[in-house]
Amino acid sequence: MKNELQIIGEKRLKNVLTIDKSNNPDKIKGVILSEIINVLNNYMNVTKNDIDFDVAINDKGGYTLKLFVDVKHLKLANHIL
Amino acid sequence: MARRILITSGKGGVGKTTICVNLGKSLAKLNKKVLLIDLDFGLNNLDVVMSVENKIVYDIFDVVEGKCRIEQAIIEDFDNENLFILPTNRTYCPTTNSKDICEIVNAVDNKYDYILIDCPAGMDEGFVRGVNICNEAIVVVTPHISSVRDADKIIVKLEEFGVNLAGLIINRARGDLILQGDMLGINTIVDYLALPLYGILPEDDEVGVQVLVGGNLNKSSQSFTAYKMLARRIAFGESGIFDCTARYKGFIGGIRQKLRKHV
Ligand SMILES: Nc1ncnc2c1ncn2[C@@H]1O[C@H](COP(=O)(O)OP(=O)(O)OP(=O)(O)O)[C@@H](O)[C@H]1O
Ligand SMILES: [Mg+2]
Repeated sequence: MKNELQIIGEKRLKNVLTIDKSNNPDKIKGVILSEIINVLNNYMNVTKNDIDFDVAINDKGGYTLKLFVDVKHLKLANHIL
Repeated sequence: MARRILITSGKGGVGKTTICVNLGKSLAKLNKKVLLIDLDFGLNNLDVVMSVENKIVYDIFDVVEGKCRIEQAIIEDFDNENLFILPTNRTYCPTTNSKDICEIVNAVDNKYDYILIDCPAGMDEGFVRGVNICNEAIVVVTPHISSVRDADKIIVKLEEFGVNLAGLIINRARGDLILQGDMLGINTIVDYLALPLYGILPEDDEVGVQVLVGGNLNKSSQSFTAYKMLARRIAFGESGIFDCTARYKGFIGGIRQKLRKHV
């Protein structure tokens, strides 16, 4: 049985973990990169090694994403359509 | 080849050293040969919790500096022939590199089933040293927001180092407070940290007594049972996890809860 204190505690824990993660570009980087690979693989065969990806904090306090992808072949159009 | 398990945490004082010793003792009772290594250079306590502080002649640095053979620095537990400790007993932290420590561990690796590494809290040098010699890590937390938060950070670090994250131990859990809703619930912690739960260890005065007088946990204590279950889970993959709320359930349990709250 959860009481009010436990619910407040859980909310505070969730909040602090979320803040920590948003301050940690490395953690976000891994998650974004695996999603990008999933999306790109609909159109081309790419692995982690073909991608140069970085998330950096910029001077406005926001994030800058850099992405370079080395692709040998695009998937055939009829695979996509 | 030994399972080299790093016992680590983000926050200090959550029970890593205590767990190293008592998990070591419980594994040794299962006929596993266990070596405990103290990597908390300068702030070592493994020797005291193991009650071998008076037996130390050489320590890990003497081995690194070539003053003795590794076998001379390793001490056998007072009552278990399967349990050994490689201590450190300097009051300062000498400069060593991870490679030296790694070579020492490699040299004895095949003599043990388990090497438990007592890691200093945090992400500094000692943590990196530990990461370099282990092949899996157990993260220790207490059911407090600050401890869980710091554990989350250490888990990210361990992932970055590519360490196999074996599981989570929740120490100092108070069944009465969890039932009353005055402490973070076990499921909440496990959900947020997303690691397999290895064990729950209760808050238990017996742990303090053990360190005070030196020796083993009382066999009738909750902690003794909890460590036994933890060791069996680690060694044999058994599913049992200590239920710290059990003694506070039912009519008698309700009375216990009230007594604990008011004493
Ligand atoms: N389950 C428990 N119940 C009661 N007391 C405990 C429990 N576990 C640990 N303690 C006590 O908490 C204190 C800190 O434990 P310990 O030294 O093992 O923590 P640690 O994580 O190794 O600390 P450090 O980060 O400083 O190395 C000790 O006094 C110990 O006796
Ligand atoms: Mg310690």
